[in-house]
Amino acid sequence: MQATGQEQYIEFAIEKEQYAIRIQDIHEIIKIQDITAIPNVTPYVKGVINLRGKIVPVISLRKLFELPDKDHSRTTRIIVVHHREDTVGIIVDRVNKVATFSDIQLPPERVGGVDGNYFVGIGITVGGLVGILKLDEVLLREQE
Amino acid sequence: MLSEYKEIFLEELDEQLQLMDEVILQLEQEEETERVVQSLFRAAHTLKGSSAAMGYEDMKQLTHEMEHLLDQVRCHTLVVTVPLIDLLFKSLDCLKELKKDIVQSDETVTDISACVQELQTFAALSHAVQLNVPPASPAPDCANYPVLSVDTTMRTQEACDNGLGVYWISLRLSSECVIRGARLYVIHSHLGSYGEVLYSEPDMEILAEQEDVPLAVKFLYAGSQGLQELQEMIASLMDVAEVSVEPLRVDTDTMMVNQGAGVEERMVSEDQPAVKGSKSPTIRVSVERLDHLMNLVGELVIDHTRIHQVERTQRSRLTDESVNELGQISDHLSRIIGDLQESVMKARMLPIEQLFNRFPRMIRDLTRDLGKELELVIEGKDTELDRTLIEEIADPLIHLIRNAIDHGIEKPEQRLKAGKASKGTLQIRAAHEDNQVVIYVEDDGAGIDPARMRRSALEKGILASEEAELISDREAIELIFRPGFSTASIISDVSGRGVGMDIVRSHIEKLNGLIDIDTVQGQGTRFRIRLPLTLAIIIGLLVKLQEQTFIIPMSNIAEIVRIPYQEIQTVRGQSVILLRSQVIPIIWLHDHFNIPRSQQAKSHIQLVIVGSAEKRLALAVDALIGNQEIVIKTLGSYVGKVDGIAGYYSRRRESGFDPGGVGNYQSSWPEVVMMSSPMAMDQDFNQFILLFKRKTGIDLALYKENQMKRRLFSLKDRRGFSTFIDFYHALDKNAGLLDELLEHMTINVSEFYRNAQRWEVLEKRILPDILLRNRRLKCWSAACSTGEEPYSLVLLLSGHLDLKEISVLATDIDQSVIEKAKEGCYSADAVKEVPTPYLNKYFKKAHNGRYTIAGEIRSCVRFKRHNLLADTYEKNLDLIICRNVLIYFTDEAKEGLFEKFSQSLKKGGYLFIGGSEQIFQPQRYDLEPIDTFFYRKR
Repeated sequence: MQATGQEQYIEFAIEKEQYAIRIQDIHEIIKIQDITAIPNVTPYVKGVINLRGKIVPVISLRKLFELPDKDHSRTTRIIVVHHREDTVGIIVDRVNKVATFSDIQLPPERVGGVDGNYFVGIGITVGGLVGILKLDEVLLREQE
Repeated sequence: MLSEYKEIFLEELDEQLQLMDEVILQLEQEEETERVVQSLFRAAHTLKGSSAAMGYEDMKQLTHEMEHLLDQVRCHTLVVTVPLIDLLFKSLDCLKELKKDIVQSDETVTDISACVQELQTFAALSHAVQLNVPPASPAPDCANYPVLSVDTTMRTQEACDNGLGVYWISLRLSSECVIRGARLYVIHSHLGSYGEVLYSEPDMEILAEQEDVPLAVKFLYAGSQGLQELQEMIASLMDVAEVSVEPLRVDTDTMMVNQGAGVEERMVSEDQPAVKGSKSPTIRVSVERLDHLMNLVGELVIDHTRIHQVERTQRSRLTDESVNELGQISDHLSRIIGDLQESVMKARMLPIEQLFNRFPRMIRDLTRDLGKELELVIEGKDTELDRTLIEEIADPLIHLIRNAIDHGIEKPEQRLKAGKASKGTLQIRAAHEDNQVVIYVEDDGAGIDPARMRRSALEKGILASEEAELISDREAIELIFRPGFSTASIISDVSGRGVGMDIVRSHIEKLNGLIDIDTVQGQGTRFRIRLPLTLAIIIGLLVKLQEQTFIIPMSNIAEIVRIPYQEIQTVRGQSVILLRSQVIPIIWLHDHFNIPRSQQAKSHIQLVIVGSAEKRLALAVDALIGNQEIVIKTLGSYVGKVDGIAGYYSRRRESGFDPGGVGNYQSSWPEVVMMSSPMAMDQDFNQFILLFKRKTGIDLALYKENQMKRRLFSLKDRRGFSTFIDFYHALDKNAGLLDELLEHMTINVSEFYRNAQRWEVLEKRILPDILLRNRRLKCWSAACSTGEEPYSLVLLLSGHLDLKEISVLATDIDQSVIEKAKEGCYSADAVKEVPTPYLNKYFKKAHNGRYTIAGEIRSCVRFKRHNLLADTYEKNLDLIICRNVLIYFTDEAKEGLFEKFSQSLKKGGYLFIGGSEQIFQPQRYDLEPIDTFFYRKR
């Protein structure tokens, strides 16, 4: 159990799984736009977008969570987050809502098929379990 | 202290120091001494005031002493001499040191006492001289106008601020006047009723008591009347024989006013424009803001393109009047946006003067040190270019100038022998030519001797002897740009500081510029640097690779050719073409960017030839799209530097399209990847490899290229070097960095028993101690990479324990290396340190020469993914091995790790770390050093 307060999160979905990011880490949420690929970078960096003149790299969590690539749909969004000095966009299948969690459990070693280290905790809601992303870990670049 | 004020202070400091630099030089050349001394005095005074306000005592004291000395010069009690100028320069250098201290921290470490002492002695000495010898010529101004008190000065200033005219009124009473004292008093009060009498000489109050009243009087008067009006008014007064009215000259008179330290800051600042010449008012704007503005304008352009597109689609559907109107609005908008963009661009431009002004001082010092005589000619100070460029070009230019003075210009006696004037000339010239900025550095010195270049190149092994004979004189001279080439026979302090012309060139090429050289032996050398006007906008050639668009900067492109496939030849596996009898290697950009090469459907191949004279490359692309003015943006730190990509995003600067059938890429264009200057990239890297090999004997080219490049790039970037050459020179000086690089390069080629001696210490000294107390060991190999380390440990332990008793935890952050570690398959190289009995017993050699470790050893190791920074650590450990990982962490992070390691260890447990990772003050973490790289928990 962790102290939760009433911190707000944005809850979103990739495939059937629900995830969340703290609202204070989020810069904005935008519709999917044309992404320009960059050669010679790690596979989960899908490319960059032009966000009002600022170049923002966009990553896909699908590669990270070992899911197959999927075409973008009408509900696909890019969640733009601030992380340390960087601004990074994360592609998600669907954004659900602003959520609060009254109960957050420590993540188990593996969450579904995914490494538990990617999560701060698991939020428990009536709608099911929501994995709260640990941005530090998720955005960690391929370190050598 | 508020950093905001500090910033303002530093800006002012910079400005004043720069001014002082210029002014002292002028003083030396005896240019308008009067004015020059004034401005120098003022600069010192301003600094004194602001440094006192900021609480920088040392700076205040130093400027105070300078001011004191200058005051004497100003009042002509001290004559400008060479020792004085040297002293002033010395003080200035001292001030610059102080500034550095302030920039770095608020603590001053520079010792100013010597300098202050010298200033004081100088002032005292001159004073002593002064007593004996009266000044040769009293200052004319001092004689004409009286010296005003601080109080009067302030009132004068106030009057000026209130928009009143301030005049000196000199009048002479007629000799017939009987009661002069009373008459003057009447005039005085008469004036007082129209305006204000700020000062009078003689003083009215004393005058009343004096017997012998002079005929001539001076008043300093402030009032709203004009000069003419005032003159007429006074002339009409009784008993006034002569009157002259002169407006107060602010730049000289008020300055004469202040003998002490009471100068009002306001007055000082108001004076400056008058001295510097007329300039339109300016404000400081941070570059960040300008960049932001630029971004916004960029967005406007894109939005406008959309409007344009909407208009076109509407036009095809509707024939409404409103569509025409939309078209007009769109056209107008496009013009405005164009202008706006131009203006924002201009706002980033600065005159090159900023940079050029640094040179005279530097050159003065240099020529003095080298015993040469030199006249410096600077032209084109007003040439404007982008401020980032000005900063970037400074080092290369300074280097060229040093070279010119050190190697180019001969000593006076040699020059006379060669029939030249004993004084050499160095010209630095900037100008705009065809949308480029051209900077010339030209000397009339000895020139470059091609024969000597050949010899030197031979000696240094840069050329083979046949080659040396073959190359033309011109090519021989171009050798100067090769890395490792410096013809200076003695490495002097001036040039030959480990930076060569190769650095100059790579720097300039990085800026998308070009440098060339013209030299006539015995007559001189001229370097020409051509730079784009700005880094923000360049012209690029858009090319297609499959579906992706890339841009190659136009300045790198020599030509574009289309050749039939059958003309491609192969030399030692490398595809080449023969173009006008020059062999040029072909590079498929597709390979570089991991894009599949396109099918060879066409009969011809499109090649873009990049680079200059002696080194060219032909880049194969699928198609050419066209030219465009583009804006480069960096990729940002998250993605980091991508090999070959300078940035991303481009767009046309103006709306409207080239008619040349560019087609409809309009809709898809704004996202284009930008290709960096391809030559600069490769050349820089290749030179690094060359230099590195010469230094260490290690040939990096033998490593797997992509992996090595990526590592090197990441290390170079992490350490903050912009080019590999810079990086190399740092490596050359800093053994720690070199070690780090070696470590870095070999992470994943780690081997068994790496640093075998350490493992011996572990076996002979550490293990017995642990085993003494405990036979059920808990060991952890942190950051185990591909498993060599934990397996080595198991092998080591197997000599003391039964395999069943051994369990080692091995973790790494990278899942993929853990998978490899689990496989346990290694090259012969990796296992070369494994003792033969173990190798025979526990390894199986496969037919491909690789060794697989036995399952019984593997089962002793428990692999797990683990993040050292974020995850929790196991407890009660006997031994932790964590080598060559910590160097990648910041000191702060390291401290945290040591703390956590210590907590995980049992009392008496050991921590085994890598070569460059010594723990400072291990006792802080309850650790004590036992042997090199081994620490024991207390």
